[in-house]
Amino acid sequence: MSAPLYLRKRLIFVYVSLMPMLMIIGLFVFYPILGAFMLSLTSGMGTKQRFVGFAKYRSIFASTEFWNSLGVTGLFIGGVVSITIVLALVLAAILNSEKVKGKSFFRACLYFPRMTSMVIIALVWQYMLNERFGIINYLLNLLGLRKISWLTSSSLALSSLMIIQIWAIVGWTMMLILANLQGIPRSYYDASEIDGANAWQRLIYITIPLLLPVISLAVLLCTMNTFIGSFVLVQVITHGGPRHSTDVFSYLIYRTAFEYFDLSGANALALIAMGLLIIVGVFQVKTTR
Amino acid sequence: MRSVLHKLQRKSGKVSLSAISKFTWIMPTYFVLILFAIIIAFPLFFMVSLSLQSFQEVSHFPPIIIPSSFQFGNYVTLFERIPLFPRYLLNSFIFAGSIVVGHLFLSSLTGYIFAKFNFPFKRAIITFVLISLLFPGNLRVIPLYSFMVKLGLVNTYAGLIIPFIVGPFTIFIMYRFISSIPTEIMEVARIDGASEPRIFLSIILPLAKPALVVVTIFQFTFRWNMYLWPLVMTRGKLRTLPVVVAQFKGTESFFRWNLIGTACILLLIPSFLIFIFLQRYITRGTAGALKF
Repeated sequence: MSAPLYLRKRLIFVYVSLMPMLMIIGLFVFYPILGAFMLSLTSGMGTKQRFVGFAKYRSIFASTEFWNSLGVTGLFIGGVVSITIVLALVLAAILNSEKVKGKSFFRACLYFPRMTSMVIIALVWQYMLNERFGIINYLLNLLGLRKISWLTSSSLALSSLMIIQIWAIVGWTMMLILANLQGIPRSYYDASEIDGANAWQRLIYITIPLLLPVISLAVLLCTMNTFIGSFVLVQVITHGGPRHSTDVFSYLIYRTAFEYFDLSGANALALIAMGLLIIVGVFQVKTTR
Repeated sequence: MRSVLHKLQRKSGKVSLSAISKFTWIMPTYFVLILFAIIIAFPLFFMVSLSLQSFQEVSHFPPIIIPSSFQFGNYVTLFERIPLFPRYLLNSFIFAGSIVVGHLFLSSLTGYIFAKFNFPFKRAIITFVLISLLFPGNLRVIPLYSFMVKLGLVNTYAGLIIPFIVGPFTIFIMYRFISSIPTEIMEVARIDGASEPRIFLSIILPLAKPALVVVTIFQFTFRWNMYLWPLVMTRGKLRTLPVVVAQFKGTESFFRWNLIGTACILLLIPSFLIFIFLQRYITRGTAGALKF
């Protein structure tokens, strides 16, 4: 009537084994999202909580803080990811050619920031970019240039943070691309050379199309990493920056929760961010089809 | 230079213009590479130097790169200023370590089942896990925190660790690796009468060592350096090291950068060590199990 014993035992094994994982993902990934949605529809703390519908969202969309933060974040992530990818591609190309010696040394060097914590990176760079006694300004001085207020000027602070973030991720992005670059068979290039392709054509018609999947993966990973890193950089160094110039979205969410004590607003913001992420994700999947 | 040109001549029959231009861009290329290596490596080297500088040197202008005397006493001073430092270190270990263990076990189990078994609802379950990828940990922090407040688990190890003790990313790493293990091994074991749990523990897990090592390095470093979640979830004695090091700067009236450097080095060492020690296990393959 039913399946043989050993098959039944196997099924039991499967479901029992999957259970803990399913419970944890269900309970700690999906359920809090629902809870966040519920919470974002209320206002007030503790006993004063009341249901206010979408009022929270309305006030968020009406606040300049929100739009400023969105702009700052977009600038930050867009700038960091694009520059990082370009740099990583160039570096990977250089390190892939046979003419360069000591490749493993350079590769090891470039991997260092990956092993450290974003907190460490933030602290060291804050020290180096200090306007008065930082080493970067000292070097500029030596070259006869004026000192630059890297982190205290509202027009420069974001760019400085972007430089730090790029510094932090270009190493492993390059390694990722390099690994894939090395997988492209030399025969492709040799065959095209016989057909008369020059270096530029080889780049456009062979290298880039074959690298597209890994570039798209790199964009995804860099974006995720940058989002995480942006919080650390802002919270440790600039606290939202001179006049909100570095008020990244993740920091806005944190501030709303712990400085304004507005947990429902913070949850609303988090949900908005997730919504944006899903939209971007769907868009990306559609365009790579 | 002549020998290079001769080699090129023999290969293509003529010395093309590109051969010469190829040669002239080697110098600037090396220059760029070395510049990059310096830019990347210097800040870390500088931090090591910072950790050994005295307070006078650290606030000196022009900045000092190599301290005149190595102040190893900084490490002692740091422990004096942060008496709970060992406790914070332990907290980080417990946090990162538990999550690594959880991932090693649960994610490989899940990956194994996804790779080697067919069962009702398999599609739905895999989709379930895939969708959870859309909600990365960092965005979930505030919703999770609100949930934890309701559960009363803020500032507890359990609340800190359990939400992250398994994750879709790791599941799929293990899934891909275990897929490459031949199913014959399992069949042979089943014929020999091994039970399913036994097969997983004694056969699959040892074979999956390279992937497990990758997961360990990856997750340990990631969780050791995690900042926002412990910042939000822990207070006082339960804090993890990165949070403490970052706040350390804030409590000083004038930043004692040398001690901050010291704290950073201490923060860096464990994940660095794990990285170094486990590196070599990645290259050892799965050869051996299939020798029949």
